[in-house]
Amino acid sequence: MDDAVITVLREHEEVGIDIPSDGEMRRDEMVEYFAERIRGFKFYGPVRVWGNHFFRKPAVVNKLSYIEPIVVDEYLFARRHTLRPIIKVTITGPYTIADWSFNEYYESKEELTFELAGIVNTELRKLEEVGATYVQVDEPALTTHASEMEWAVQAINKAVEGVNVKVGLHVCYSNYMLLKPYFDILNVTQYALEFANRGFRDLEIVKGLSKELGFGVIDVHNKAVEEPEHVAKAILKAMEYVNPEYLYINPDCGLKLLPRDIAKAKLRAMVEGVKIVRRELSKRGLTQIPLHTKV
Amino acid sequence: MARIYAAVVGSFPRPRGLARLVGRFNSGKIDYEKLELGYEKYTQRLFKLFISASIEYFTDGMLRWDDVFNPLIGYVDGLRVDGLYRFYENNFFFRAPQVVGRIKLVGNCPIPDWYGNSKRILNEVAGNSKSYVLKAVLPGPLTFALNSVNEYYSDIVDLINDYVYNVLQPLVKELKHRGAEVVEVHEPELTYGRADSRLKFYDVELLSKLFTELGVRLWLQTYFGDACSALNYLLYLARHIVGVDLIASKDYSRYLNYFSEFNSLAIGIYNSRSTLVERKRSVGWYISRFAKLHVNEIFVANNAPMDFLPEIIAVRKVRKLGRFVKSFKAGGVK
Ligand SMILES: [Zn+2]
Repeated sequence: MDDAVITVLREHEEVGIDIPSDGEMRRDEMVEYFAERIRGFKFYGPVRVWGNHFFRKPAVVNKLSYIEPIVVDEYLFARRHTLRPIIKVTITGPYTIADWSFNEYYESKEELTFELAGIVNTELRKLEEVGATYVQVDEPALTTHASEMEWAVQAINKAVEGVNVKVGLHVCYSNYMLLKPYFDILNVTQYALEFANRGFRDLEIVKGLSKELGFGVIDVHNKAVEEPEHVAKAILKAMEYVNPEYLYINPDCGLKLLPRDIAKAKLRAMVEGVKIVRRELSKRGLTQIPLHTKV
Repeated sequence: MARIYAAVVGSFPRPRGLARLVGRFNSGKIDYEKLELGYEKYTQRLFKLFISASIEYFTDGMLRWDDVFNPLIGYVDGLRVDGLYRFYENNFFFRAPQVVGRIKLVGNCPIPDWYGNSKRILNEVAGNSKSYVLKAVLPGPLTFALNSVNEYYSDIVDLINDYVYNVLQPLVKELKHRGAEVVEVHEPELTYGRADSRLKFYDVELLSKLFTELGVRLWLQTYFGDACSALNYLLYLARHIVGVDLIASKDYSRYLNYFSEFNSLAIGIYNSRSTLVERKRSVGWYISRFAKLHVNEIFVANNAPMDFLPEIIAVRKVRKLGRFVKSFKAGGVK
């Protein structure tokens, strides 16, 4: 496992990624991994997510409780093995863990979600304690049930309460029109959203965004490698709505379903696309941006 | 008093062993023949489960399907298979039909043959018993249209029309040739509520007409939405079989009298999205209320496709369902 993480970090550096992650090499799946490390879950077996892809959907069968740090060691290991100063640590958000689990114990999904928010908050505080500067809370399920968004957003805010590091919120394959009204209410620094998969439709939703945009330019469900020029074009399009200082460029979502060489080629294309845009920006005198924590 | 049947609706979780075979086939590690043998084996196993559980109406578990649209949309001219989109409110994604031209079923669509094959397997397993009905499954026009990325038709009504007459009609005809008596048409969109009432009426009207003309029984299956809020449309299909999701229809008892208008009702009371296995008492409560209605046939069923469950729980639920209906019919449940 350690070797796999080191390889991923090297590859990120090699293709020119500024903010690497450990590629979640140690995790089989984003909910499974946390459910295995929180007391109160049980696994009945795999459940289909799409096509021929399955995940071991957990069931909550008891009161949940925090056992010990979940991703802290993962972060510390990555930090020791990269030359880059900033690493992004991803953590699955409380709403998504609840939504992707069967609830056999709690009275309501809301109660379950807030219980999880407390657990996630404990983990984020531990990450901050050891020096993490950038976490991404993954909430792909956030907009799934429109009627639950009001409290789901509050649960996320509870999860990040008192945590003073940069917090990105990743929401993918979702109806962003439902997310938009909460852009200012969510206590996060950045929204990392998927746009390549939807052919850069819906970009206007980020118009007027007062936070950073993590702009998804790489389709992770398609083996065709993007052209750097296309990436650059997409970024320029996004800059019609978001100032470059507020723009982070990332793949749509995790790359784990792609063969490794293709994933690497895609990241390279992404970086090359960014370089094209940077050349433009440096002509305007824009060369560097600071790392924002809470906006 | 209505005749009561035990039924399974829609997909069944693709067994792990079969998923492994599909994966190996997709990455070129085994050939098509090996994969076919896998389908044969797991379909057989599924039918044995249904029969041993006393299920009388069922599908072949849609084991060959990735979602309600695929692989069908790969056999339709004018469609491309687009990116992944969320299937209603589930952590389940489908490849959306992208409409780029006038749609029409291609000549070599294997779906009717797959049905014929499943039917043969069932006959082998059931010893040609006439007690079991194998339903074919197809996506409904409204559900198809509203989940498509439509880049061709300027009026969605034309898309629905072409789907009904250029895709469904030839398919249902072929399925009939292969011995299908009942076709389960999945139309969650009718109760989910994104379409306006004009489209919904149009949808049920077309379906009713098509299946009446073709002489095949329509089992119109809704799910994820409140059936009571769609009674207007569903009652239009009163002569056919209408499947409702009672888990999502919380207020159904207020509308109970309206349900008397139906000829055949499939009541979805085994929750395909919960691992908690239904208690006898709550299921008995539902059935005894519906059994008193002036409905000819009541099919006791799961409320939605079972893809959302781990296989082990789906098996448990199917066994409970069958056993329960059997004892209810024998007068063992009051
Ligand atoms: Zn994602």
